[in-house]
Amino acid sequence: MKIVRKINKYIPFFKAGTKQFLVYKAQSFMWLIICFVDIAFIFFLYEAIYKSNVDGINAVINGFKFKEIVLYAITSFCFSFSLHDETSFNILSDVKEGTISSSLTKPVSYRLRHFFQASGNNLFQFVFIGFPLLIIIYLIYYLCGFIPFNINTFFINLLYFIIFYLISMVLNNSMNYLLGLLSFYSQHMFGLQLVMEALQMFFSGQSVPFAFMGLFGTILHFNPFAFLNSTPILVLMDKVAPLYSLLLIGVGIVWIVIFELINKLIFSSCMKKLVIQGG
Amino acid sequence: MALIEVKNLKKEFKKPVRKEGVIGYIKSLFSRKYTSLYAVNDVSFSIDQGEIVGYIGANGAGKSTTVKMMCGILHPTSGSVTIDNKDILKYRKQINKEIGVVFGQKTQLWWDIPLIETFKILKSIYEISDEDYNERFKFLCDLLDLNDFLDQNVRSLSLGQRMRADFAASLIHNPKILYLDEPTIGLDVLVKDKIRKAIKILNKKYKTTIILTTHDMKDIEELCSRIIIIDKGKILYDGNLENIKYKFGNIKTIIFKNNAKFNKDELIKEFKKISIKENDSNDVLISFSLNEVNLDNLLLSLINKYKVEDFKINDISIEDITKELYENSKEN
Repeated sequence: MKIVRKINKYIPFFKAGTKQFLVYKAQSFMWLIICFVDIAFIFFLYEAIYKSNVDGINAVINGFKFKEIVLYAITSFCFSFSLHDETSFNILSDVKEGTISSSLTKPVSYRLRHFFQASGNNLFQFVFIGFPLLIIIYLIYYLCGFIPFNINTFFINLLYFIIFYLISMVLNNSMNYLLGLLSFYSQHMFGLQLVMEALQMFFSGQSVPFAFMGLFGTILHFNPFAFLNSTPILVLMDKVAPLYSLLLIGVGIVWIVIFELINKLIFSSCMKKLVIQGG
Repeated sequence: MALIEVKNLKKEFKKPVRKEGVIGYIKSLFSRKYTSLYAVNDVSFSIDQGEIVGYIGANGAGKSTTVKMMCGILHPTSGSVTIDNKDILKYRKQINKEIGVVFGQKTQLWWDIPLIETFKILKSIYEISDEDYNERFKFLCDLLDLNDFLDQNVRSLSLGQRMRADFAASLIHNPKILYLDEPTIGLDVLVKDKIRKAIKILNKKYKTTIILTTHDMKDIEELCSRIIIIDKGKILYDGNLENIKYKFGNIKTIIFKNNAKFNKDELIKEFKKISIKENDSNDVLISFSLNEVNLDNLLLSLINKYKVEDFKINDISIEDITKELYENSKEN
């Protein structure tokens, strides 16, 4: 009962997060267009790579056929669209403009407030844009026979995919929150945000699948960024065994716990360091 | 037992020293020196339930820093703040349910959504029952004339509307304590008046304890029975408003345009306890205490002898009072 009451306090933040997409329609659609441009860019890049191979477009490189790698790229960008999180920007603006003073005078947790707001935004994008897009793309792939449809594994993979999406949403928000907390120490965050984005692109397997990186790629499957892209997508593409998926769910939860502990420690240090800007 | 207890509160801010020029800038990248400044320095006071206390001082005196420490937002370097006998840093989230805050320069309203939605969000955050919410919401809307713009997005509100809405938002949960940090800053006379009336009614109806920081002496005169004056982080005066008025409020300054006939020495001879200055705009400033000089006689003498065409009489400003108090404290 107590936990229900506690969650009820944060429902308005969740709702506000869902409205964010509708309030900033232009910005959200621009983000979607950028994703499509990226997909087109990746498509032509892989086409060039496969065509340069001896077997041409039918080659299998590191376990991926050309059509599969294109599917990976499309899924990857649809997925990253559904994980777009502005928590670090929001914290930076809170600290920069001094509006954090209003947030901290409310009887709610600063961490949970940002988590629910980002979750609202993410789930809205996933349910209404990312997930339907993925369904359409997979239907096209199955109907055209680009990938085999296995009824025995499809639904279990879909269930795992949704679980991994929830893990990646929480983990992504934890990382974004941690990045945002750094603005208590320095407000020149633009460069750091770019570095974080680049690291995430590489270590999540969004720019290049881990399968292309040999032994290093195998190790990378366990890094926290992998849960933000590579892991859920490989699960959906039926490239991860169900038991191995269970192990990865455990690893993902451990990463969430680690990041939340770090966040807790850093937040209490930030509170001691806090200076409210502008009087 | 006092509702708010502030004990030996100190807040030190460290600022990096940046050297001049490109070489100096590069040097400061490797060896950074800091200067420290006590924004609040050993401040102690206690406030009882139902009191309206004016916390005043010049810019940078430490008013807002104290208020932020009293809300638990800023951590003091040393000292403590207890509300209802509970340490604010330990029980911040719990105590925040009993606190309302208005920061005049910052809004707590949600910028992109209609105003009424902010109130609904606050209802959930503070877990207000439907009955209490409806009663308070109607009361505040009527008191502050919010009904005309409840459906507007906050970003489209005027400053006066936004401030009234901010004020209502800080009171929707019926807090025991209300911190008002420059709530009338930048507002026109009508809105200021509305907010002052609202503060008086709230204090009377709900016994809300109010701590008000302001530069506007009229806010203080109309609302506060007790004032605390702070300068450079130290309390210079804590007491009754009437006492401070008696000590400083009786000092007046007459300002008029200098004319050829004006004779400074002659006037000083006639009214010994006055001081005369001239400013760059060729104005004559005559300062005196009403306790020592008769205003009627002085004005008559000025008008008869020097054909004064236009003049004004100013009260001593809060900045002057704090300056004088600060100088007195240094001398002692």
